[in-house]
Amino acid sequence: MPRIIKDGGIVDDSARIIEIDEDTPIHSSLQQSVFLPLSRWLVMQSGMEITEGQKLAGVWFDGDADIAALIDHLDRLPAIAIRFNSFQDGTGFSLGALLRESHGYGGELRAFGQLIADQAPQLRRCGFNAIALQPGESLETAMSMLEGMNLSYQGSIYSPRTPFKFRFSSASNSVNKT
Amino acid sequence: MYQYDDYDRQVVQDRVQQFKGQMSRFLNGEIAEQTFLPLRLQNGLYLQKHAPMLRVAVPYGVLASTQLRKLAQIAKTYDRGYCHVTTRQNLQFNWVKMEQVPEILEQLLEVEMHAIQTSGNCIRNTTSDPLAGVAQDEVADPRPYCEIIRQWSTLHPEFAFLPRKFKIAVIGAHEDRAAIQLHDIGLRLVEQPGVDGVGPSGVNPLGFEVWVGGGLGRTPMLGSRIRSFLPQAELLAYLKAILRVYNRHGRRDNKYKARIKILVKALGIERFKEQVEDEFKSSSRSDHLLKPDELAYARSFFSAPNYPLIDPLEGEALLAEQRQQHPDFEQWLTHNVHAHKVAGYAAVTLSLKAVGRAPGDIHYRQLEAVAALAERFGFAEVRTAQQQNMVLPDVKKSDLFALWQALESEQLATPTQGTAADLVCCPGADFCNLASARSLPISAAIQQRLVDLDKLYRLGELSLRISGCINACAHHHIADIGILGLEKSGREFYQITLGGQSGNHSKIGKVLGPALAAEAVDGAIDQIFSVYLKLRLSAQESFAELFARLGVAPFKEAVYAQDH
Repeated sequence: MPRIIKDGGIVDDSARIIEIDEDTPIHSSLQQSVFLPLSRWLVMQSGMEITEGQKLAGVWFDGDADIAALIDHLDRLPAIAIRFNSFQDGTGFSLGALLRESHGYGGELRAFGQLIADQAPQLRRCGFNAIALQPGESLETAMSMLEGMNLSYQGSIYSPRTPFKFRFSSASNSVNKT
Repeated sequence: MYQYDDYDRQVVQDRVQQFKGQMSRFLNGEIAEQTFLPLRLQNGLYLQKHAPMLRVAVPYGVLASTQLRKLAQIAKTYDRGYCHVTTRQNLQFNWVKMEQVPEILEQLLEVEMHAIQTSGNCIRNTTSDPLAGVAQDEVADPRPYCEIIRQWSTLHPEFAFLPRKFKIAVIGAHEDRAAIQLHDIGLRLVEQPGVDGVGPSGVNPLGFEVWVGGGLGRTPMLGSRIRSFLPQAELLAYLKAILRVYNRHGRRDNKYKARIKILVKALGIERFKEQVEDEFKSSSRSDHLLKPDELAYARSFFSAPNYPLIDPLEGEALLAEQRQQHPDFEQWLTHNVHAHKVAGYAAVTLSLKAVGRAPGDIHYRQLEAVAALAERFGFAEVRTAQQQNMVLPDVKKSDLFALWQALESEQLATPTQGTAADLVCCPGADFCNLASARSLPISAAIQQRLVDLDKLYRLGELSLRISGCINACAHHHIADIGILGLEKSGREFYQITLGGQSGNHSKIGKVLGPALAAEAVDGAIDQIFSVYLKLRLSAQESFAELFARLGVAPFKEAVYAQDH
């Protein structure tokens, strides 16, 4: 079974990403956690009566997707996955941060696609709590980078800070003394 | 100047360790070359023609004498004895060994320096006015804000993989000595208009005029004003909003259309502004705002030094006498010495344009000498300038003569600042892999035509810049005379542009005509000088003014008539 980093640990992952041209019946695929392409997810939502307690499918899209149509559904969405088409294409970092910061999205936020281990700390700080790396990348290396991540000038999407926020009061006391 | 605390040291230390790990994973084959490329670029490491090049960040161009000594030691130990001042106030080592880079980074950390984000598609070193804090025409010192931006932009998780590089410049003076309109974001400190005496000490609250979308390269553009007043507390939140809009919507399909200037142009400044303001409103929280105490703390690092009280008149009298006795000194005073906000003091340009040396190159013995001079004639601080020179910011006027003598013996007193011989030049194809043509031989040939100081001074203030390729590292577009190296079927050609300007009246130069062969360039430049001298109405008419009056035609005629 594939493995990903989720909530700070390496776990087996049974989630399925349904490709855009794949016509798997949704009902059977809902037995496990799935991510539908955004367009198909929206079609399904519009044609479906949502009953109380019904499990919703997750949705995935690229970092440059237009997500305006999704915004009203965010509080009912269990999981969102953003695909990175190249590890040098950082659009997804901003889209993830935007979902958390501007839209208060609180469900699973997953990054997948062409990602390398070295990006795990940046993904985490932008609000991704689930990270699937590209084939060949070491999850253990990524974990060690997450664990070795100590201080930063910006904090994270969860607790943003300005650079001197916790430093000036103690430091200015000692500066004044000297 | 800013002093690291344990926090800063830890951030840089962590990055050095991370890079060390990345390098060893690359060397043992765990990371593919293509993957390692952006990782090493984000740490300032290029692979060039002869050897790797390491670009070291000089935050907003401020260096302490201890840092100069360390840089001298690095140049001596790991390089061929010298380094190079860039047009973005950084320093480059052109002959380092790749496997020694982590060691060099550890050495740099000892003096609170690093190479983080000196390259790659991320937020680069923030640049500023080389006279920041001492300029006479300053509303407020930009350095505290530069430092805040330096920290905020360092290893920002959201903006490490932007569509393209991103450059920010901050000034606090009326005269723009940092070319803010040519930056992705340009910031100018201003007092809030229309509000009187509501600030803490009876002065108007400070904030920023914000410019966005400037840049050179293949499609040179001047920035547009997006905000006429941004309260200083909102600085980082607003930068984040601009960067987020750019990171989400900037083009990634074509390297040459990926800078923010293309996005701003495509949307138009009004629509771009709308998007930024929407983003700013929806994502800003109080956590993103700079608190007054925090700003005061940042400013505390840059409070004016204790200038010893001196009698300015005494210094002036002595200077007048020395001037008369030493015409060479007089020339240097005229060109390389600048007004200072404190009476009796001056700021001094240390010229890195000695004839026969590559513009901006500095030898380790000179670095050591500059360190000693900064301690003897100032507060142990030096600046790097975009014109590839250095500046001693706080020299007593009564010390100028002694300083001049010392600089003369170090070949740092070439009295040509602001003239055509103060030419700015990238390393070009002699070193750089990106270059299309060599720039150093062209620079040397032009220098040779300007060794006669009388002729040079007749030309007056005139900027000349040479870039070895379309990336425009020497900023040739904004020079009175710009030269751009091109390559056509294996041969080097050079395109000349005229009429560019930087500063408050920034302007992009116009192409003179078809590109010239290498051997024809210095002759053509000489022709351009002659046309200017012949046609100007008086010695007071600057090259820019004459060009505005007559355009490209008389120059074109002279250069291409001579060509055949």
